[in-house]
Amino acid sequence: MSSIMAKKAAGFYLIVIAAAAAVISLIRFCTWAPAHNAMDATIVLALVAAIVMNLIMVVKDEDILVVFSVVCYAYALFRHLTNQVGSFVDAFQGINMFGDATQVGTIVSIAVVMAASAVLAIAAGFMRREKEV
Amino acid sequence: MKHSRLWTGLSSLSSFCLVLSLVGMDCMMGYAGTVNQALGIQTSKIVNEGEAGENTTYYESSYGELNAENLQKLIEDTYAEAVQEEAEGAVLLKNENQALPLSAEETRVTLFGHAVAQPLYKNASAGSKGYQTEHNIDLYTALSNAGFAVNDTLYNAYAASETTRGTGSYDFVTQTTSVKSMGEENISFYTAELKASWQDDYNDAAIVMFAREAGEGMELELTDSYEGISQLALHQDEKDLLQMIKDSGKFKKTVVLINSGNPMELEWLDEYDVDACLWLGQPGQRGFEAVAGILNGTVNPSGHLTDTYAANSLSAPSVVNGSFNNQNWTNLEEVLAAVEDADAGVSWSTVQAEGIYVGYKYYETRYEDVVLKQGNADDAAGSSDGKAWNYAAEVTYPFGYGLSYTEFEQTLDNVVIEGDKITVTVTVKNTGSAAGKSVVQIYAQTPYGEYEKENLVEKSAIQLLDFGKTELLRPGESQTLTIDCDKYLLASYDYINAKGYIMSEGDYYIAIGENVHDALNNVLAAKGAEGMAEADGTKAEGDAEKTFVWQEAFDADTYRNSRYTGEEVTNQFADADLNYWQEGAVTYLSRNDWAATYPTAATQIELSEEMIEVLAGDYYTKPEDAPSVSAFTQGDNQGIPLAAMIGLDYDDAQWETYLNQFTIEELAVSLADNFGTAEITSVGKPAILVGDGPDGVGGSFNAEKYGDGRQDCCFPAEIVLASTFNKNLMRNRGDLMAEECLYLGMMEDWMPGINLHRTPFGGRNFEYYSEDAVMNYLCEIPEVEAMEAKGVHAGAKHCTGNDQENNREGISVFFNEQAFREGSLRGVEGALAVAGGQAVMHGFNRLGMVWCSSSTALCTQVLENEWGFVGQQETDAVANAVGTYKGHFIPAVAAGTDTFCLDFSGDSSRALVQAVTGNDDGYLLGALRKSIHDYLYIAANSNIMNGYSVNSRVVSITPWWQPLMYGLIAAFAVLDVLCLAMLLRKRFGKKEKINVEGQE
Repeated sequence: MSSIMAKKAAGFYLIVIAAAAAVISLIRFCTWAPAHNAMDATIVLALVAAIVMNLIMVVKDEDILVVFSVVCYAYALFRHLTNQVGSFVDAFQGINMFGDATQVGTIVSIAVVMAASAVLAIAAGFMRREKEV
Repeated sequence: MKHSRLWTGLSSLSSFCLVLSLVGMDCMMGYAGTVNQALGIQTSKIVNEGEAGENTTYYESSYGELNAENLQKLIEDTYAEAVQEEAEGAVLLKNENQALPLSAEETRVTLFGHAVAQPLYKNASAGSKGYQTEHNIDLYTALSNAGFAVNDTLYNAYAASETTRGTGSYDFVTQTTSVKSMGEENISFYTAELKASWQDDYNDAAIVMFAREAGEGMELELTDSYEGISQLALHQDEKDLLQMIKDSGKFKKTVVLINSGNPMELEWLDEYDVDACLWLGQPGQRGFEAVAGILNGTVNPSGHLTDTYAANSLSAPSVVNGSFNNQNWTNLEEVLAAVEDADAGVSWSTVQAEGIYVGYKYYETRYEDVVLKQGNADDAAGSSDGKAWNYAAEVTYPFGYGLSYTEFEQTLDNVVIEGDKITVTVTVKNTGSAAGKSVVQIYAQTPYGEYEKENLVEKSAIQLLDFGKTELLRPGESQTLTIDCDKYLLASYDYINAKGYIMSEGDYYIAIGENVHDALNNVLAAKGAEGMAEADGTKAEGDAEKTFVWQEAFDADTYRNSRYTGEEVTNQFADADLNYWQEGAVTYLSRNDWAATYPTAATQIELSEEMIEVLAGDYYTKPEDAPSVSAFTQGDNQGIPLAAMIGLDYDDAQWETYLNQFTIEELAVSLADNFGTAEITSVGKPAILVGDGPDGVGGSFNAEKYGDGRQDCCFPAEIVLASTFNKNLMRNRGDLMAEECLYLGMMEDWMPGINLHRTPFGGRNFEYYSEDAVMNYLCEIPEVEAMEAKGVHAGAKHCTGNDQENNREGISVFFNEQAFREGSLRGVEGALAVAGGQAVMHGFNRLGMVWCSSSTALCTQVLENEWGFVGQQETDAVANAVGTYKGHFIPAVAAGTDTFCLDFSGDSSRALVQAVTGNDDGYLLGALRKSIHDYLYIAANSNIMNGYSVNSRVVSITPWWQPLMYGLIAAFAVLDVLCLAMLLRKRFGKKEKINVEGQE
């Protein structure tokens, strides 16, 4: 393991942080969504897939996996936000009708962590993830 | 294999953008109706083929052709109407020593209270946001335009202050939506410098404005988090402000403006030497002009309250179970485990133990019983001070109260009763010194005898029967009003014995009065009673000359059958009475014994298994004798457009032929209503757009077409309109909003608000008329008639029992049928059964445990069979309804619901298609066909068909944002493919080349 880690460069650590953030997103989403009628299996699948891809990169640095993981993070992020449009509408109109305005803070906080995963993964794409031999 | 950082990064970035555009487009398509409405986009147009020949303008604008010039005239008229509504709707509550109007010399004023810099034009809700535009006139501007010089030092300090009244909108900092800020300045705000600004100037009058703001989804708090008192009570910062003004001794006059749709507690006016108090309600975008006029006397106020102003808002019996006193089931965990729907919609209940005694019906009835010493009325139960119940201690201003700058004398000339018509003639004379308008309020009392006591038929001691308003009368001028009242409104619903409407045996009284309490005192005088008092505690005599009495025999037949359809009117909501399920669970308030029946605590309910099953909402099973889907003709397109159905009766056989052209999918697609539905070109159905708002339809005029892109008018709140007691203004409002809809291309507007001010704390009391169902009934008739006459359908909302915002989604509302029929149902009957409104929006709530939209008793039996309603029945908003109590689309359609409001993703359409085709359920297909028949019937007979003939084709128009989004998707896709191709080439192509090179 130490020999593997010895080869890793900064980009790899961004991927690790992205995956860690995604785990947090996954846990938060899965604990929040069922109680607010907001569960979406595709979001869960996207996050899990991205995390798995990032884990694979521990042993195998593959550019395509970076791209695919960004796709998954982006999907989870935007699907989560668009699923909750009603809550945002309520929040900005000052009413409670289309969604649940009280949840906007939670929705945004989950989205922010998801966005962090996506941004970190994109940044990692531009960076070296393994040291040059 | 070689890594490529550049192409990996760029591929990631472009993929991110592609996903954003794809998911974003998916979302926008889901909300397409809303997006198009917001952008003012029509998605279909008319293409006329052949000779037009006939006139295809079925509903004409009173202004003539729809063009830029006429739109300006319309806008001018809407603004003038808005000012007039406020002028006649604002209520002068106190005017000590004729403090108002301010004289020509009293023009230098100081405005106090943070609300002067943050006026409440309208609570948060649907409709026009015109008050947020440049066409709004605020209090400061209105006063300045009227010639007042305002103390800018203090006004600017308020404007610059960070203090903000909680608007009800979401607070990202506190993550709450409740109204958490009263928005008044602490006394420390008033520095020596600020105080100096009124020492020697701007002290002709201190004009203090207080606001109370609730909103859609938000009640005012019964016990707030600031001081632990009612949010309608005067709070410490406000007390300190008033005390400061009083102690300064600088102001010649103190005038208080109440900027609220909820009745503030006002017992404190004398304590702070307030000279005059004017209730404004919420004046919309132009109403402050009228307020300035009232202050300087160019307008003489003539508004009257449509709510009781209680000294203690918590003293209303409806509060005991209402609003924040709603209860969870005592076996909530068991219920949640048994019901699959989301918890929020299945957890709450409220029991209307107050029965019919809402608003003045409670306070005035108890008052009469105190005077007549009956029913243990003077017991301490329900008393605010724990002492014997005393009217003067409970009520500050009664329903119908309102002062003027002049005096009027009203004489009851004559009452003639012929069948159902009671013709009341009243002469009004202006005996004062200023020109003004007077409201004639006609009330009635019906007998409360042994039969009623035995069968729990409750009677309000006084009830509104009708009203009228004079023209502007100059001093000395008179006008005689002849008002036709409806005797039907005097019938009582006996749900115990007769199980229908009855006319009680005994003496009936008609009385006029300056307000409901005055009218009751007149009745009491006619009865020879003694010991009457005014609301301020002074002795009242009453005037028997202002009453008329006659006798009726017991009659359970006259109103046994519906006056609209002939259908027998009998109990339909027995299961909404908790006592049906659990005998003796509720004791309804009865004037037979106030002490024993006044509710002392919210009713706790443990649901039985049987009740849980009803709560679960799965009412529909395919009938055994259901026909096959194949029994209906589908997709038989004969080229008949919707235009061919214009003017045909609902039952015309041609409608069946027309509906036979639809496939099941085409039928179902229009179930999902997103402020309109898309066109279906194959059957010549154009796109439909609708508005939403009692005080403004909510749209922007087409700037390209009409040269003006401003929003439609935000009128004063509906409660202000009601307070005018002027049916002409109500008719004008309906007419002008319909004209706006013609310009906006809208088929209907969801208005008027018809729910009751059941408690003073209701979040949307501002956009409902009154605490009194008959007031609602009377106000909505002219508004709805005027709108329908222009081919714009008036969709009364929310039918019914939706009298609170707290827990409104899914709350189980329990009541007895007398209270429901004479209250919540009466409050919408005028709009649908009398005025002919052709659309109605259901409430979020449940009747008992049945969602309004799934209630066959409501949707089919009462609305259609008893009232003869023909038109569109729509749910309230069902966005993201799957998995909630609102996701029971099938039972709703089976019960009579036609369309689902804001079903963005079309869940209802898919559910119906699946249920019909998956179960070969012809019965449900029949219900689906009826739903679309209802919807298209009103579409065919609306203004949106203007321009269409049988020779017309409906052609789809792609909204401009769709190609834009598709273009973005394409651009990102191309970019992404290029980046990925480069990445793959670098990653794999190079390696092959190296290998080749190696081999070489």
